[in-house]
Amino acid sequence: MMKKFFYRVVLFIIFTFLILPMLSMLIWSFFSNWRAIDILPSSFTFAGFNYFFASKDWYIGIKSTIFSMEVALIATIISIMVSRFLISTNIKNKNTLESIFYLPMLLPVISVCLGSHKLFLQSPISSTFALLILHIYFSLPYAFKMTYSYYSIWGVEEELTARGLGASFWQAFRYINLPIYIQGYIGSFIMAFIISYSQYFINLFIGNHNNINFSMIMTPYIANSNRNIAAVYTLMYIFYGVVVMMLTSLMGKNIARKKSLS
Amino acid sequence: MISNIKKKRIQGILLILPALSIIAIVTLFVIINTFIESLGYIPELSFNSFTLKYYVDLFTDVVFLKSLYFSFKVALISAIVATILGVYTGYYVSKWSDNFTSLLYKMPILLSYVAAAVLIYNTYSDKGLLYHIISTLGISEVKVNLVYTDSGLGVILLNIFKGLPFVAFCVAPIFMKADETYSFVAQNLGCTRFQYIIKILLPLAKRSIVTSFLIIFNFNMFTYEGFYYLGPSNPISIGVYAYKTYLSPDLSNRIYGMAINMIMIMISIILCFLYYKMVKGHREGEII
Repeated sequence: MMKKFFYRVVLFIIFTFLILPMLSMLIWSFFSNWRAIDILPSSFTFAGFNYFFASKDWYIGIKSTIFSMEVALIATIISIMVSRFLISTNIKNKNTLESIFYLPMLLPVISVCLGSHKLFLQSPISSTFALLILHIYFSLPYAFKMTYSYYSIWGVEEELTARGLGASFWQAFRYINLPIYIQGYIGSFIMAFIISYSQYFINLFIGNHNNINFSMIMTPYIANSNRNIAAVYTLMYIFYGVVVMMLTSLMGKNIARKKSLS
Repeated sequence: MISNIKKKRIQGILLILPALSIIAIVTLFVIINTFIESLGYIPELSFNSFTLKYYVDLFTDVVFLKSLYFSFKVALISAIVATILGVYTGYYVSKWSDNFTSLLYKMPILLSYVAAAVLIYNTYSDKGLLYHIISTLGISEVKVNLVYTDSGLGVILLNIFKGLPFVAFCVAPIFMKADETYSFVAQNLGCTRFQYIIKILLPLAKRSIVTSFLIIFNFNMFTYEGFYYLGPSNPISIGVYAYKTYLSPDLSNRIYGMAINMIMIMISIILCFLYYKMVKGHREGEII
């Protein structure tokens, strides 16, 4: 009994540790200051939200979200292609080939940015495109891992059967593949979106003035410790991300339901 | 007329080409370019000789060694704590079917390191939330300031805050599946709960635990944001050191930056090798 109580206490401490920062975010986004002698904060304000919308930073946030969605879409499509290749062929060194795609997971962001700086400076491609490549580079492994694990469970046999019965490639993909794998695709899209959405160093180092993302507009307020505005920005960061994720998973559920009805 | 086999081969190459070209070109260019430049050969800046002088300089430099040791210490502590607590949380989370709590513990995964740094700053700095909670409990004259300390406690807190949910997220599905499959069998054969966890659950999840440990250890060691915003200004971490050296106005310092970068890449490649060994071996009887 005592032991069980101890386990519960440890779990409670862990969850408090995870929730406390969230709580501080909620408090400081609505209160501007909290004096040391007060038990509860007293100065209720919307100044942070006003600042966020007045300074056009909401627009930068939306631009950054759309950019990350592009990255996630491309990463998901590429990882579907790779998974289909790996599942349908039987070559030597398949494991080695597979683990090449996990390589960016373990390479530090700083090394890749510093090392490839020269490549992108010399090449004629624009800064936005260079940024796109690097974002895909870092989010591909996670998307690939998710998609490939789905493919290695289900395989592509059903699709091949449909092809054998006379369906065209796109018909087989739409009516057989998509309903089975839509959860996996949505999962890998969300994973790639999170990775790309939370990048900071790539945009700082490679991007130009057009490629400011959400994490970058937050940084001045950590440095000069304006808690109110920093908390509001974090709240809006989570809000944008959650909206995208909810829309995506809603879309996925819709597709799965429609396909299973028809 | 192209034969069927040939057509299939071309199709396969077309399928794999985009991903492989992005990853191979960037990785190879980064490694080769960093290696050549770290040896002192940058023709654009008229450094034309190959020498190991810069590595020797670095390894006799106290500041560099200190920063390497500091990042290693912080990353190791935070990765070990995050892994242990993450597995612990994952075990309990796998037993709950409550939607809300399972969403709650995943929240920090969504945050970027910068946003998480804001939250950690708001909570654990001087006059932060923790200070108010403690002073509400009646203990006055406390001094709660956990960020910007010499030991890098703020960075460790940040890394645990981000790493713990990641580990729990990785291991929870494995525990859930294993519970369905082996729980009753083990109980039937007279296994206590503790033995069941130690002898069945943990070996099953071993691969996943070790790989997620390697990922967060590597990430924590070379991250830039956490150390830059919450860490002490002396000693600085190796990532911040490399960035500062690379962008220093004295262009000859760029070679030192590249040498530090090469050391970072070497460490990561060693970790990659360990990761590869983990992923390759023991495929049978495991739950993915």
